[in-house]
Amino acid sequence: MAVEADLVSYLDGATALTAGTDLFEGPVPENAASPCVGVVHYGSEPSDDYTMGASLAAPGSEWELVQVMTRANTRAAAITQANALHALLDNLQGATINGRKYHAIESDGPPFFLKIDTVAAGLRWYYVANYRVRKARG
Amino acid sequence: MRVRVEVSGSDEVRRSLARLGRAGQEAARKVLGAEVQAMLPEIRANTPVDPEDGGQLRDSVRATKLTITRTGRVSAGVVAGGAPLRKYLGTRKANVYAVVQHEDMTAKHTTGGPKFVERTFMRRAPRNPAKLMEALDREAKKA
Repeated sequence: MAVEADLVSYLDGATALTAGTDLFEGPVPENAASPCVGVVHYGSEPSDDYTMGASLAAPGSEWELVQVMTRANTRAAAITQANALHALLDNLQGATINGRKYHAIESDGPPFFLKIDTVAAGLRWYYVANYRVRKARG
Repeated sequence: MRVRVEVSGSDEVRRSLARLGRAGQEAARKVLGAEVQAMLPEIRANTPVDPEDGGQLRDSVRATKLTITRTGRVSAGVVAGGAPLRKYLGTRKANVYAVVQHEDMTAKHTTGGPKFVERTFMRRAPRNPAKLMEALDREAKKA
């Protein structure tokens, strides 16, 4: 999905995370090393921005719902990473990412603890935050 | 776990609600109440069910009591989890279980999936102002 690719691209450029290595489109892969981050486009809302125009013309903007999940081996690392990403996403306005206009990104609230799981390497802590994105089609 | 949707930003709806007073609030309550009841089957169908003796989370999905505050705010909601799950979860927290099931995009489900409440709400909520206006227009004609 474009919104996943765009936000991964944006975060890749704004943080030490690297797309495809520890920053992923979609849910964080089970076998990826922690810490890592996944950007999931999980829903969309009807656009409120259609205007009179030609058939099939795209609305001025569309709403998409995105979750950013951070996984790390310690609670502190997960919180730090999730909060750093939140600071880069919440209330982002008027950005152009990969040539596409992002009018606004607003969070449903700060990142929160989701769960812990255990693998051979030890515990893994998960934090998530959800965002509503108003962007140009694509 | 509780999901609430507030209809805001629609000045026309708010003005009509204020103009109609108590009748407007009652009309809004009816519209939102019907809307929440219509959502419940869809939300239940999308709720994850544990393949081994599961279904308690799905069965816990229910509408909250409709309320109207003194300032005229009409509130309708859907709840999943909470008290009905307590007897099944042992020492685990009932609300935490529901939140994890709702928010965890990495979980693999054979039935249902994450965001089972929110997806339905957010798809239907934008249509509510139009339905509210229709109900308020009907009340205005009566007056």
